[in-house]
Amino acid sequence: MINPQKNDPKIRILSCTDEKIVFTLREVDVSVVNSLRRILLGEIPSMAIEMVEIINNTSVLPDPFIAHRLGLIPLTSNYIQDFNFPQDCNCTSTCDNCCVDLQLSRKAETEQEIGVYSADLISTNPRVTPVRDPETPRGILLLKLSAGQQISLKATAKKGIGRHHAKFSPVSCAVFSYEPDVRLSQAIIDDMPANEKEAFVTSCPKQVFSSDPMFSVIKIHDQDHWNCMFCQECVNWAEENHREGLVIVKHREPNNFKFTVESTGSIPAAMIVKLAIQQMMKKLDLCRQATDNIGNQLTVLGSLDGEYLESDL
Amino acid sequence: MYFTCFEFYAKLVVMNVPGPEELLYLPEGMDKVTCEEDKRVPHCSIFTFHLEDHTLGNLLRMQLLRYPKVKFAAYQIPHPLVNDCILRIQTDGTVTPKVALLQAFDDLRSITENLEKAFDEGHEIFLKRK
Repeated sequence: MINPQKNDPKIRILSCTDEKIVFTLREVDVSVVNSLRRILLGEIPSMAIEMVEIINNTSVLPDPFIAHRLGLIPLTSNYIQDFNFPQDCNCTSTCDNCCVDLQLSRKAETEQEIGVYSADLISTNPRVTPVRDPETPRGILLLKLSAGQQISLKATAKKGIGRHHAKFSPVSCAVFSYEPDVRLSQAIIDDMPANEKEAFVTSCPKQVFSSDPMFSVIKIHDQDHWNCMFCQECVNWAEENHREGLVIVKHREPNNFKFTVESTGSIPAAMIVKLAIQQMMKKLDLCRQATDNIGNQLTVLGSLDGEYLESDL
Repeated sequence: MYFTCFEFYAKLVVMNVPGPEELLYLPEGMDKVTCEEDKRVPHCSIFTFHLEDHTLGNLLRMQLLRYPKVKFAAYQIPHPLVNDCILRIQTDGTVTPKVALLQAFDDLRSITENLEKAFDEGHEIFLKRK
């Protein structure tokens, strides 16, 4: 059997920061892209608070409420590969290879109300700390304490994957869209009066079409077609105004995709994508290995291979 | 409705919600993939991937459907609370379903490898442009 996907995939990164990466994908089937998206959401490990021991809580929020909020705090997980999953670790309950302890202790000493932020969590491991960014140096607001109230707790962060709980997912957004192919019929445009052209250009809610102030020409600027969200407003407009065929909107063939991944801050976005591709390989290898092993048992059971040999391929 | 603490936990125990362990860890002694032959149709096998979902199922199905020797390939998730992915493959008889499946794995593996290479190259180009 030949591999029908002869061309290699092509990736062009449009923008890349630690928080967000946008890239286009070509020569890849949608099933591969979707698997990549699902792996990004659900199967990249990261650290999150899993266990909370409340020592003292006189705030207005109940303990489980605070524990839940703590769980959702993104923790830096750049060195996630150095940690073991709790079930894979050799230790009996917790150890430095699978867990990180964090502590939080605040009290509103004065009459003034104070806020408790994620940056107040003190981690025992400098590699796993609550995510901070320069704009909000104190992190996420957890709760507020009024005069005399206090909170003191111990939390344990563990490694997990998003399929278990969404708090372990290192991405806040992983989406892809087809590249739109928007085509205008120049003959019909030439036929249209300026006011109709203006109405057509403004019919698009995403400003895909642009025009000169006099509305003589209608154009789609270089990258503007990416704004299109297949709402068909322009096609509907053309039909309502008896200008059928003025515009055609469809997916570009062969499929091109625009992939956007936003990180929660726990892992840089580009690294998450790389990890996802590696995770996909790992998954395929694991399942291939397991599938390969079935045959060995089946020769004993004698149900699958029968008259056909593997060399027939 | 108001429950005392004990009643609440008693209710939790009664509920048949599967724990996260069931989603993540294969029970000891259980095979990752099992296979049975479909006796009703010739050259047809049903593979069950434990602890897998649409991520793998759809990937394999789409790849298998590209092979001219594969007559039928489809997958299903039997129930949202069952973490299995059932893949059914029927071939034209010149190869076994298992061989087709292994071929799909190999091809997908090379696609993924190329994807990684493409991503690395793209990233390098992006950094240079910056």
